[in-house]
Amino acid sequence: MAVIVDFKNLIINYESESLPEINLKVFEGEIVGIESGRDLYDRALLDFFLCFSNDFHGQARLFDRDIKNLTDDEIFYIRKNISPLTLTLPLISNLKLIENVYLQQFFFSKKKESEIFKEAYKLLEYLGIEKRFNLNPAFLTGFEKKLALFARALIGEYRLFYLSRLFSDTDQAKKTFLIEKILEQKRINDKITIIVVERSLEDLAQLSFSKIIKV
Amino acid sequence: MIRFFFEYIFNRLLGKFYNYISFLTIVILSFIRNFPSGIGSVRKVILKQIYFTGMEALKITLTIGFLMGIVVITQITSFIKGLGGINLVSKIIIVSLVREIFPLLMAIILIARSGTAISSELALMKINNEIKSLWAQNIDPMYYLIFSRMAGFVISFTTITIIGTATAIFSGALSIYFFLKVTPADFYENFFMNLNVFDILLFLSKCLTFGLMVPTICCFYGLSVQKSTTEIPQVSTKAVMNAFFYVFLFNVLLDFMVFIWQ
Repeated sequence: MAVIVDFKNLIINYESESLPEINLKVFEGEIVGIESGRDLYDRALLDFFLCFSNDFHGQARLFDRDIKNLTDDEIFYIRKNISPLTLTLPLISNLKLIENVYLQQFFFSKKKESEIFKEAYKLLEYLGIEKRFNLNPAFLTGFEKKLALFARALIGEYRLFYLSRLFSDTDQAKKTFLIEKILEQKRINDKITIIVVERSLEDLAQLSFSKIIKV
Repeated sequence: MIRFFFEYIFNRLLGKFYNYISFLTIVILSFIRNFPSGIGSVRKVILKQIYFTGMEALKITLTIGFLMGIVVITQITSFIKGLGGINLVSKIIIVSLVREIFPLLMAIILIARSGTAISSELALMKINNEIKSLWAQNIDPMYYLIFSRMAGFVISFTTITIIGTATAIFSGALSIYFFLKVTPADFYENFFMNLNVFDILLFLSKCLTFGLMVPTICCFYGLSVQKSTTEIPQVSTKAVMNAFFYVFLFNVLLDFMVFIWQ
């Protein structure tokens, strides 16, 4: 199985602080949990995974690329394979919900907008927010925004879903709904790797994590 | 002391101008790097920008154009009555309306209307992490957000300046008929006879320079915010004041260049 994430003795420096040492190996198709103690750590990990910051000690490889000396093409490759599902990286405020979902597809694929629109609409139907397709993100609830991010992830061809604080501030019924949808996708494509970053992973046991680390 | 003062002012001016040119270069390079991918989505943003900057400003442009034409012609005819007739009036209209007033007036209107909107919108997007969100999707914001806004602004600015000037000339023709009893046909014939290639070149170069300069400065300041929403009004004010200053400065420089060339 391909190794998606390989961190050895990794210490990330972020905003004049250093995170605790991380040792993590994630194989393709695994579901891995990271319990992080602080908001700053969440942001640092997210920025590190998406190659926005690479101030660190130790060894770090993502999708078999050494993070230390990434070229623009390699950064493009890594970001192409990761879908961040987090409100920290929100929907674009001047686009409608459905435009947000298909923006990346429309930008890079050669398909017609009407075709991509239909695909995106089907995904919104699948997640039960199709009636809100024409609204700007400002008119959506927090949970609807999370579902929109999930729809955006499903329309793309990502290998890693990076869920950062996706389940926080969400009641149990909504959490269960989200987990069921994620597991459904996992059953369809078992090669999808999922990393979940939360304060506590206790009530997310249904995700049956391969491993959990604490930061 | 005086030398120090002038050196300080000159360095500041050049420093800022260098920043704007560097920013514009980054935007152009991002276009070269990304084109033709994303052309469909970029086209949508350009059309939106044309709608907000051009279409929505059309009514005010037509009104101001119509009134300016009347005002300028009324003042000129009352001033030069008996001095040179329709030929002199046409020349003054070309110099005042076509070469000077309209490009400058449109720049002022669009800085106040769209420049502030562009800078505050981008500032808010940056603070909300939306710019980062685009990067995370591998979409270059310099291409998708900035280039498209600049392109839309240049197109809108040039178009509505032409429309506004044409409206002013039309209302000017009506005023001349009213004051000097010269028919519009005679006025237009005289007007186009006096209009030379330098006038058209100066008009178009002002349209392109201002049309490019205003969104460059406004986008530059919009993206210069760091983390706090309290910075948004500050950067909008900076954007507007600097856009005004450089538009006036370049207006003078272009006039000088054409004066020397002529």
